[in-house]
Amino acid sequence: MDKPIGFGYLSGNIMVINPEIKVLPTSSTQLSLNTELSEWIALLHNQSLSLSWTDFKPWCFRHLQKLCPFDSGLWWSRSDLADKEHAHWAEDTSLFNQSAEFMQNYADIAARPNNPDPLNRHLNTNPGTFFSIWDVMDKARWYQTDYYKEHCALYGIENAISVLTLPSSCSNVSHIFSFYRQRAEHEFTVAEKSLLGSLLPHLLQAFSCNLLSSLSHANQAALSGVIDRYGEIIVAEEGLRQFMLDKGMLTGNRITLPNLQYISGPTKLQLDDMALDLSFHEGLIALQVHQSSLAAKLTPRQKEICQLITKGLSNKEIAHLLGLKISTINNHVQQAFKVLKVHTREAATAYLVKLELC
Amino acid sequence: MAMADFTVPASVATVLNQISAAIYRLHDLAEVAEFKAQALYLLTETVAFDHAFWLCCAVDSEPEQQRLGYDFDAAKGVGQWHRNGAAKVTEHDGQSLCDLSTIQCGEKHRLDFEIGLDRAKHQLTLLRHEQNQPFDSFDADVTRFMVENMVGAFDLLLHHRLAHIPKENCGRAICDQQGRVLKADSEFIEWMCRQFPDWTMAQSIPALKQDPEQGLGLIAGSAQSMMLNVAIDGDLHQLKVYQTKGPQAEWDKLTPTEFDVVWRLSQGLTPKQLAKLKGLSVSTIGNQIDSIHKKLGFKKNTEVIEAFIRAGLLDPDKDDN
Repeated sequence: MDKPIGFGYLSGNIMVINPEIKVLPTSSTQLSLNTELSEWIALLHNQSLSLSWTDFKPWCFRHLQKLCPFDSGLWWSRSDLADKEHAHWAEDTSLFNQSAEFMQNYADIAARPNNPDPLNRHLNTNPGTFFSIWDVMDKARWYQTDYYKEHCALYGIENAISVLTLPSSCSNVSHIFSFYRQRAEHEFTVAEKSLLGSLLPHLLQAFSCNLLSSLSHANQAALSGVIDRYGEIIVAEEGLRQFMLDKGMLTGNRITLPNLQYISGPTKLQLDDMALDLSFHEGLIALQVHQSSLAAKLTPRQKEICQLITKGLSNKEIAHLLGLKISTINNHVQQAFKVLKVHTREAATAYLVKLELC
Repeated sequence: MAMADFTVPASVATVLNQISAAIYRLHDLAEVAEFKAQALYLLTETVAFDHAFWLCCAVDSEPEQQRLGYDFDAAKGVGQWHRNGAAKVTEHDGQSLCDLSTIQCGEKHRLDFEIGLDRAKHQLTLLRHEQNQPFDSFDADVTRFMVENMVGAFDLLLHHRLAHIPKENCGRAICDQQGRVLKADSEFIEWMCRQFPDWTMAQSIPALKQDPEQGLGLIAGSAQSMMLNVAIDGDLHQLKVYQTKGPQAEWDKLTPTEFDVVWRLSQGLTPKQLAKLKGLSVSTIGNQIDSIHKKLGFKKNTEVIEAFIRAGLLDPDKDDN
């Protein structure tokens, strides 16, 4: 059977370019994919690893301004709970060039019956697409709305675009981005909306990466994740889900942990053979499963070999000692390192010795 | 080959960004080989190819016949490290038939990229079977954008790796196969510069030797009061540099007067000149020097001076930390 791959398909072992797939829509807006854009993207990801959770969004706004000028903006994120009522438990709003009461004012207006924000309805029905005010109503009507008179005019907003993104494979978070311009004649162009829209995957990936690296203080000896108050996984390192599933502590996307609602500061939990570190950040909980629990996952053979590694033996010597082939030992060592999440023999030794497991 | 004003419809840009964001997501994979395999697999979703060869080294690395690169078979979706193809890839004239030894013959359409980011230089070659269509300029432009993103994601991987090498009073760095730094923390650089004043980033790490048996691969060495530790993952070498003797503690044993004597000797004064300068007899200075030798375990003044300079104590303002 032919397997399509991108702009071509594979027939047996021979790849054939499918001319039909390559005919691209010509009517839509053209975007430039130049090296500067690649560099912009690379910097975004790079900063996501270095910046703190609180600095990341403001930095992103300034970074986005290089591609598309705007005067102020809003980036709202929340964990997408099954239980919508409590959604605000884990949300984060970052305002750019707007005062704090902007959000309060918006919330007051949005709370009225028939939410007067004209974009609101369109965002929910068309996730992933940027809308401007002018896409949904004409100017004459816009200036008559309560939303304009009581909110936008107050904060100098003449042009606005917004987008809603739904939770994706990279994180269990929905986001709303809004960008505002003060001058009536500076409308957001279709090209600008398309460009910002096309970059959403990178923004969301960088957001998740930042969340994980800044909240869980990258510890190579632990599996990290970020969950909300209800145990719903927001972002998790590869392996955390499987680990929790093996422990019987994962239902759907939710990790079952006792007393999660009452955690307010850094907390250590010991459950059976598992050591957990929890820390609380504005409704989000960073979770780390420690090495001792990882080490418990080693098979007896892997453990035996690890013990010999900590004594400073080489794979060759271990093979000789145990009467096994070097390649077998290599395999065991690789598997054991994978379980322990270490890359080197010293790292394995350091952790195993520290935990008095060897 | 790549045009600066390459444009695509917004829908295509969105798809390409979705795929490149997915490549960025791979940065925390445990092995370089896994990263490269998955990134190249994702690349097949944007451009069709049969084989790829991906090589990474430091910008100032020397050309070498036997360099480890990642050889990926798109039809099978698997890859492996391979030593021999590199020279042929780098020497190609753009027209010649490709005869990488692992790849069955008959493949001749190729697309080459050389992209640098920070201190890393990437060479990526895509190959198509003879019976397939040649690569066109659209393929080249799409691939260039994707490869730039793959290189960015690789930079993120280095960044992530560096942060994850356990830090126990050591400097950390990641090097290529020739021992040239791809990424290093400030402690590592400081340490190396202190130990080897002539060393620059463009050179291989001193005290690392290439393994004569394997031809490639670095073995840790030790020099003076430092120890290098190497862990190999594919074509990356993760280094840690430790102090074997704490020079600070050692020098702390000296009295202020003795310390001053060493400092002046290191500036190039002879014991005689020093005695004159301080208004002391030469034998007093001689006694002080004896005491210094005893405390530090040295037998010659040159050893003391060398160690003193290497420890960065001659010019403490330069690397005061």
